[in-house]
Amino acid sequence: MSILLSAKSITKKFGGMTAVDSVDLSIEKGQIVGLIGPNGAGKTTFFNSITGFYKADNGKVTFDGIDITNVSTYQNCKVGMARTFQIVQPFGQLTSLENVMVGAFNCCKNYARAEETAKEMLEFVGLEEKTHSIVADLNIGDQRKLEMARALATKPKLLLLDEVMAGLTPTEVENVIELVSKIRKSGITVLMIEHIMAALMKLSDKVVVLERGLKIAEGTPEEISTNERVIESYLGRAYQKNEA
Amino acid sequence: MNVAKETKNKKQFIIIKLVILIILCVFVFISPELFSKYEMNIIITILSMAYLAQCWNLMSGFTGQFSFGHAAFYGLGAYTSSLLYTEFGISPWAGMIFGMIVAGIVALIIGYLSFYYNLKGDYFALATLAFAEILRSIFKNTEAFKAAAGVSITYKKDWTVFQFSGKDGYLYIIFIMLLIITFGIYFLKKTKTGLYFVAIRENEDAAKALGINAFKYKMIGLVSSAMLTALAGTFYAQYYLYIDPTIVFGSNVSVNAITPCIIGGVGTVFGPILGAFIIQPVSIITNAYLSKYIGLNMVVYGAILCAAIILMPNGVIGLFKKLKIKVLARRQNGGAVG
Repeated sequence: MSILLSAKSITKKFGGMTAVDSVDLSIEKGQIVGLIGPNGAGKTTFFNSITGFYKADNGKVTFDGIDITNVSTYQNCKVGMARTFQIVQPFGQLTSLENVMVGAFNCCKNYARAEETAKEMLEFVGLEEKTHSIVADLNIGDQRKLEMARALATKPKLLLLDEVMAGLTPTEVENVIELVSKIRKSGITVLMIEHIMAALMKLSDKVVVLERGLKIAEGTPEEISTNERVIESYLGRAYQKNEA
Repeated sequence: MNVAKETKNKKQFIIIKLVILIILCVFVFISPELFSKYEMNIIITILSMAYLAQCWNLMSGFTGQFSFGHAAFYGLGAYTSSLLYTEFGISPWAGMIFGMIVAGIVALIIGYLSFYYNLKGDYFALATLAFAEILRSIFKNTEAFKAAAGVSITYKKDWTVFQFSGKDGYLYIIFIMLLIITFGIYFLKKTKTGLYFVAIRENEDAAKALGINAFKYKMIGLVSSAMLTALAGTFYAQYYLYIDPTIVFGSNVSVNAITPCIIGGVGTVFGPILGAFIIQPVSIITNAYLSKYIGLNMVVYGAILCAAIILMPNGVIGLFKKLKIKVLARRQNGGAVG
């Protein structure tokens, strides 16, 4: 298996605070990689540093053989990285279709073709009934799905999901789990930040754990759930008992 | 079946729009027969306000980069064509093009400085205001630009130098300018660039994450808007045959560009035109009836503006859309009950 994304010793400082401290991460093509850690561990900062939202203070990012360290966000999208946001960032006054079309214009220059692609993506995430709704009126679950559709419409090789299941009802979580595995089946690699452990354990091939900006563990879901350090700092004793 | 109905509705809608357009054209064509010179003047003022508002709308309404300094481009257009005519005898028809170029270059500089350093929202608005004021000062204090005395264009009834004996020539020109920019915006809404503009307005971070080069599209918006605004400046100069720094670089020009959009609906195709047709008569009426009480006309005008903004935060067009949604919802509910 070939490496799709490799991030080497990524460091991001805010003033005197080191939010991300030389974190390494490599993702193979076709994998689903989970990124977990307590609040404030630097997960989203790490995301922002590799997608060009922040300028990393140190480190190197290679994507599909291309050096993309500190290139701007829109160029990252052009080479095939698409992301969603922890706090949804919709184009509120536009319809679902128009939202997704913005993404679709990355692959299709033609207006009609972009519209077609956008419709396909809305169907893929199960929002075809909301095609012409104004996005500000959608509920949070639908807005999350819409963000995924929008990101998928850019035809990415790697999809970065930032807590797409947060705040959803259990049924909606089930939906999203299904959706993520459908995305993987369609050949897209996924890197996801998630707090819902059950979902993450079910989906990921590999889990990376951050704490206070440092990578403290990396491995398969089973290895992580039995790792002493991770249990201590993040999962807690109760989780271990439940698993056993 | 539903799709067929939808396309039929769309076709009907297009026919209605075309009919309205033809009626408007005929109306404008015969208006010199119908109206007095005074009334013609009012119509021309309204149309040029609508055109200026539409220029502002193209950039600030669509890309969301709120400019408070469109006077800068208006003034540059007016001064470039006028000075080229009075000093070098170049026809304002050609001067108009030079005005566009000058305004475009200045817009490039303003845009580069503001967007490169990521000025947003109020800070960008203040920066544009500052640039307009800087230009006003420069023109007011430079002898080569006729300083505070301003530029007078000699009266010469000749269409080759952009002057007409009656009002009708000016009316046709401003009408055509307004028609072209409105068509442009109407079709822009249905293109990739138009959608990218709105995406940047709605959420710049999300737009960047979806592969939009926000810097580039904001520059396109600003420069095209500036160049079109320069044309309005030349039109003003040729219509009144006199300009000075306070008239064309003053902040009242920028305000005139903004208020019709706010009243009519920011970021809509017809809002700025509607706004101009509402706001200009209001200001004329308050001036006509209340001018004997000094200042009262401005108080009433301001109060009407405030009320309009509070009652219709999305402008007249926004109000229409809200009503339409309400009516549709009622119809659907009625259907469900029946």
